Amino acid sequence: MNLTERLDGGRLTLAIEGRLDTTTAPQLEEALKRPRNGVTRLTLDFAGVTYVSSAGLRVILLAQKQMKNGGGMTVRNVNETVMDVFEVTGLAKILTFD
Amino acid sequence: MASVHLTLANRMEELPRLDREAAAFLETVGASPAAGYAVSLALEELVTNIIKYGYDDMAGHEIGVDLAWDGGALRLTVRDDGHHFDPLTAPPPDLELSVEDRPIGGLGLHLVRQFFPDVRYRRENDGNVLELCRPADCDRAG
Repeated sequence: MNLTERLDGGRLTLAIEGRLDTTTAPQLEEALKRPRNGVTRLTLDFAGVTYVSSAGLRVILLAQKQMKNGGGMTVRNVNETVMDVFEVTGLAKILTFD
Repeated sequence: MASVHLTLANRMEELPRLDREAAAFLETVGASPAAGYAVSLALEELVTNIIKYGYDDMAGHEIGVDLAWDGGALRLTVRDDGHHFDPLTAPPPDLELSVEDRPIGGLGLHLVRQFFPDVRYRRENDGNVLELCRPADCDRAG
C-alpha cells in the first residue's frame, strides 16, 4: 500500500493506493494518529484502493470517530467492489461519500 | 473440477504467500475478479482469526486450505488443529448503530458470510473444518 498526504489549509487528504488489509492497515492508522495542528477536515481518496478487509474497515471507522467532532471526514473515488464491502457492513450509512 | 491444496504455518507472515498462491490458482482456472476478492477476504479473515485466537499454546501448527472450482461454484475449505471454534455461532454485528456506538471490531466473519452464502462447520479429528461455498452450485464443487 502507498499513502500520499496533501495538506491544504485545514484539509488533509490521504490518497491510498493498493490493499487496505491486516498487513497495511496499521500504516494508515499511524498516519491518522500523527499529531497535526489545525486539521479540521479529512478526505480519504480511495481511487487506488483495490481491496479492503475488516482490518481496513476498523481503521476507517476509527478515523470517522476521530473526525466526528471536527469538520468531518469524506471518502471519495470508491470502486464498486469496495463499496459492496462498505454496504454489507453498514459503513455506507455512516460514512460521507464525495 | 480443478482444485489445489495449500498449507501454511500459524504465522501472520505466511498470509501474503497464501494469498498469492490462491490468486494464482484462481487465475489459472479463469475465476472472476469477484471470486478472487471473496477468496482473498475469506483467507485473510479466517486465517488471521485462527492464528490470533485459535491455539492454546505457542507451538507451530499447520493450517490447510483447499480450493475447488467447477467452472461456476467455488468451494473453500479451511482446516486447523486449534481449539473448538464454530464461527457460525458468533453473534452478528449490529449494523444499525450510530458511529459513536459502533464497536471497532467484529466485522470480519460477517463480511466472509456475505461473500460466501453457504458456510458449514464441523469438528473432525480434533480439528476445525470450515467449508465455504459461492454459488453457482455449491453441491457440485466438492
